[in-house]
Amino acid sequence: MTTLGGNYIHEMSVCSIAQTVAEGKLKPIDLVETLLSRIMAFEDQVQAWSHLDAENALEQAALLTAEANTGKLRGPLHGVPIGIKDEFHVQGMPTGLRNLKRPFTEPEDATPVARLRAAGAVIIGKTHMPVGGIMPPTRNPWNLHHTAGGTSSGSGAAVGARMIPVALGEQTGGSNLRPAAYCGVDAIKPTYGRISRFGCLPFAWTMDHVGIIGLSMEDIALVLSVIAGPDPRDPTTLPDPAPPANLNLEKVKPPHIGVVRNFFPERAEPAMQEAVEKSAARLKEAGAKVSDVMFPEEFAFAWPSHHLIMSSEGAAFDTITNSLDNKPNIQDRRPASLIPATYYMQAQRIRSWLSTKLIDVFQNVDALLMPAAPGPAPEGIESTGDPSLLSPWSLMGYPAISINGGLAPNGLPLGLQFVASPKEDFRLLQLGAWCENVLGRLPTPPLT
Amino acid sequence: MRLHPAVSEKEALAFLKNQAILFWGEESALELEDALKNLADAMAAVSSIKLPDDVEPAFSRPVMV
Repeated sequence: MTTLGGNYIHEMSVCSIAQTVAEGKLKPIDLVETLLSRIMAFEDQVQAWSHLDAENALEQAALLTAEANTGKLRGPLHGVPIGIKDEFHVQGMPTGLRNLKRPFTEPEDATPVARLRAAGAVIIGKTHMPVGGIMPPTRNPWNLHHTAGGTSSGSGAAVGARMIPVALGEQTGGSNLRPAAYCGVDAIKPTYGRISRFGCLPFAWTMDHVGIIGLSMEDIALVLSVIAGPDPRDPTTLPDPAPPANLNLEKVKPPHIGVVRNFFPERAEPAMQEAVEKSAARLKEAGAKVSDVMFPEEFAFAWPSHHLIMSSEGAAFDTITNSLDNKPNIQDRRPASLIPATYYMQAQRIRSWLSTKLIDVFQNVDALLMPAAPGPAPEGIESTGDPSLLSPWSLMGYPAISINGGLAPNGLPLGLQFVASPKEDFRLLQLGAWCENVLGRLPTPPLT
Repeated sequence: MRLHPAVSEKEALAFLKNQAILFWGEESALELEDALKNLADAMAAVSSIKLPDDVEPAFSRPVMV
């Protein structure tokens, strides 16, 4: 079964899958078989998966099909297939990021994975990310000679290639929005603490954000509503309940968007900045209010502060996971263990100060618009690209999304980044959906 | 290593290099030069700012206002 109602099953959104399964028009087993066939057809090229568990996915799907046939739905994601970034623990699957010599499968799900499972999602497998400083083999489905971005490389590529409608990622610098932008799909890095990090191996404890990569803002909202919310096993989670699943788009009014005019344009390639300008003009034409926004000059301290905090915290974790009898190398973070504590604390103070200072910017706008990356995905897979346009928001914990910004002259996707004030994740998703209705989405990339 | 008055990139790099040699030897310190320089640049930058006295680090809760 490859089509349903004249549409390709592999192009179905999470929302339409959930609805058609609930209506009895689509069987999870048929869906999973179709997606596994697509994965088998293109995985040699894209290399998105670090661990694929087809047998278990088919078993889960068969069980969910049987339950749906009797009218039982486990939750709002009954039968929805999902990919999980390698960084998260998935019961019965290995976590490659542990970088252990011996085979090891996790005894327990990470909290977001457990919540997905409880809502009826089918875990297809784990997606690639860099491990031990070695870049993943993952390639961009729009052009196999280019990176898919990272570190949520496989999640971005798998959703981009329509092997899966949605995947979990994680962002400490720019690791969730960048692969989505490079692969022509959508993503959210929610407010810090919105989604539990329990069972997600850390990069930098105070800046790790669980993220979602999907085909639309509506899909992301539905998944976020399932996995967000407080978790006693992660004391940094927000006490707030998960945002609603339904974006109620009929009630969304044209937003007020602030186009950031300093720090970001000078870091963007001409094609990327042109995409920002053209998109802003189209949004204005559609009824949005569009203003220019200038950040205070102190915003420049975001980058060095982020670097010191991420490096220090990463070095502390690396000393746990890496063997200390090895010499440090350029690929690991042990050099950062030399940073004096006073500098780490100074970076944290700057972070607090900037985070508070930036709130004022949102007095007059609903969200800020800027590029998600300097340009389209760079050629080669030796690097996953430049995270610098995303890392300030990982530092400050503000929610950020990436949506379609069109194609660059070389045919690769460009991503637009929108940022809102803290805890405004739901409104940001509504705003992203409104903008995407104006700007459109990219089609499935031409894999053959 | 002092934080204030501000350190220069050169001072920060010299500090880091000395520490790297102590811990891992001269050969490794040389290999790590690029990483150490990036850290030194960041250290010099954050030491150059005078923050209001009442700013406290908030770690993972920077924006929960």
